[in-house]
Amino acid sequence: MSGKSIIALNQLSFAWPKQAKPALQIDAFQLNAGERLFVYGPSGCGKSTLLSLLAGVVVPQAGQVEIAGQRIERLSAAQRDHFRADNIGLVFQQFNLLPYLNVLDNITLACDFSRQRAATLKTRQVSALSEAKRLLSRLLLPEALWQHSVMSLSIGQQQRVAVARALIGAPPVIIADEPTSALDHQSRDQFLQLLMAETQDSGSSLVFVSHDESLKDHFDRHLHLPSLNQATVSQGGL
Amino acid sequence: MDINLATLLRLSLKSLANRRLTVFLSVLTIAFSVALLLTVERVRTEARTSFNQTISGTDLIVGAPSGDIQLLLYSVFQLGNASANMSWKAAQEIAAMPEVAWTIPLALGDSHKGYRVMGTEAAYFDHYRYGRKQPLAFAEGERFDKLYQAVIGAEVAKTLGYKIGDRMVIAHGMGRHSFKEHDDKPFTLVGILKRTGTPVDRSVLVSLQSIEAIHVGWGKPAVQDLRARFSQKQASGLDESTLQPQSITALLVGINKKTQLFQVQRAINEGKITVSGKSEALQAVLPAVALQQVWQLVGVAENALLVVAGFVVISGLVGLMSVILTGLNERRREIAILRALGARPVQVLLLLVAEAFMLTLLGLLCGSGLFYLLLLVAAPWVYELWGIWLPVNFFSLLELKLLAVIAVAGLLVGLWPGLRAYRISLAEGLSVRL
Ligand SMILES: Nc1ncnc2c1ncn2[C@@H]1O[C@H](COP(=O)(O)OP(=O)(O)O)[C@@H](O)[C@H]1O
Ligand SMILES: [Mg+2]
Repeated sequence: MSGKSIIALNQLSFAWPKQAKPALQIDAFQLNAGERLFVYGPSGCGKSTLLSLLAGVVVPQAGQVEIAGQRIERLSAAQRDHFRADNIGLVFQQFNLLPYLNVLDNITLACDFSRQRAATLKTRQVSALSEAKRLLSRLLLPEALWQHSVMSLSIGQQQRVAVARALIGAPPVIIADEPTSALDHQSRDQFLQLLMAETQDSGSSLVFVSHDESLKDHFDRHLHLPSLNQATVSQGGL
Repeated sequence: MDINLATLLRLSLKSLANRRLTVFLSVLTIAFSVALLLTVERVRTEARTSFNQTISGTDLIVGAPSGDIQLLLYSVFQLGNASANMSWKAAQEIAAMPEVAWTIPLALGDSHKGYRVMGTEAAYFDHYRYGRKQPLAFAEGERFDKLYQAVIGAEVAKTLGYKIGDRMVIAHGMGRHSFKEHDDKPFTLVGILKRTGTPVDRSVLVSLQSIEAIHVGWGKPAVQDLRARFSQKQASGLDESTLQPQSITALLVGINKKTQLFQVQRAINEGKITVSGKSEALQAVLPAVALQQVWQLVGVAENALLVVAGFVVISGLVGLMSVILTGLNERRREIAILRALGARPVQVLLLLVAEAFMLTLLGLLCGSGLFYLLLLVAAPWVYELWGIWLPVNFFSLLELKLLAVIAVAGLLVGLWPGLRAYRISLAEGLSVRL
């Protein structure tokens, strides 16, 4: 699997609406399938912006974003949303879950939104529900909580449920935006270990963003975004 | 391909269930406003049909000059009182006109336990028509043909529990406990009419002679009156052939040819009816025209009520919109999650529109339930009070239209929060910026 490009950025430039200066300018970047990338840099350097571009929530004003062989900046907005559902699993810093669904429903929701993920499970002859349960036990979430409201879970537990949702149906790319910053030290380490093991298990690539450089050692590849992003150089001034 | 609508609806429902208290309150507001609107509309139309159906087949109503509406109201609807009477002789003159097919004299002013007693003739049973020109029919017994016999309407029979052969005492004046009862002259119940849904149901019908008979010996303390009545009593010993009424309250008239209607009306109104050589001031009105005037008068109040009820519904919907809009800020997170999962901005919009729509539908449903409940509870009471029977029917076309308009308004109510959510979805990346 490795050696095959899963993410490729080329001559990319992106500015948020009504913003004069671009938030992100990247000449070239590539990530291979199965790689686990750690993106770091100070707050405001454009990390989350990069993830929004990778997820196809926004498109660059110039340049190319290729994910899993698909030039997503060429897709229509609806196609990108659809592409995201099929190919990208997302984990945020906090509040990843819909408060009105229980733990299992939150996870299987990803399959409700994506035929491809549902189809992947079907070829493996597992149901979305049993896969959700498998992931939850792999992520060490006590079975007693599975039918519970997500609101009764600790933040660490919620983050693990979010990981299960991102992973279900094995999308090629997992994107995590500071998923550990709301966690204490102990649960952070446990979370990272589980995340690593499970992404490896499903064969997904991982893009992990944090401002906390100390997490670096868990990853194959590191990207100091300010070094790559030409926009911050000019923006920072002096 | 799109994710299916079912997933969205399921999410919408779960989300609503999660916020059930706020949701319950806004549904309740809408339900109450819908019930109010439906009730106003139902009472309005039923009052009209009930009034319109009370008198049919009568071409003219004649009485002492008062006002078109007043004459109609007291003679047919038993609302208000006559300010003056017309002479019996004049009534006979009118009956004798060649264009006149039939007449029904009405003598009002007495009561039995709060129900109006109407002195009339057998012609009443032959010619009075209500609804779609239906004649009166007997549930039991038969028409009166002697003195001191009474026929009662269905409602009187039901509330007082009377049977054929029962005795009843008639009081002078109106009210449940009239100050003076003619208790020396009890009436015998000979007939009970079938329900008509008109004021007839709440009437006690007796012959004109009976009315005259119970008034012999008392009445206005005018000297001539006393003397006349006294001599009448002396002379006749209360034989019905000699008991002729002096005056009646109103006369219902049927005309032979409709083309002669205005001619007869003009003749009466212009004082062409003469009694012992003197012309008698009378008024003849066309029931339909007088009713139209009533509707013009009442229409303003009706419309005002409808408008108020409409505004109550609007405020209910605005309340719903504000609930959804306020919730939106707290749900930016939810929107971001759905977007991350691949939901399109349009679907986010749809989610909110569906939410508003479902709540409105629920409000309509509960409101309709409340409306029917209200109808069941209030119908007998409204009937008792105004003689308007509110049937527990399915919605009329107009009511269905009103409901449909509210449902569409519910969709529109969701559109604004929906569009805001749509814009949030587009403007925001994956991270929620608060
Ligand atoms: N949705 C948005 N709309 C407009 N500007 C944004 C938006 N998100 C981020 N930005 C701007 O883009 C720049 C980079 O922000 P961000 O990518 O969130 O940084 P980081 O995640 O590294 O802290 C900042 O100047 C921020 O204000
Ligand atoms: Mg960020």
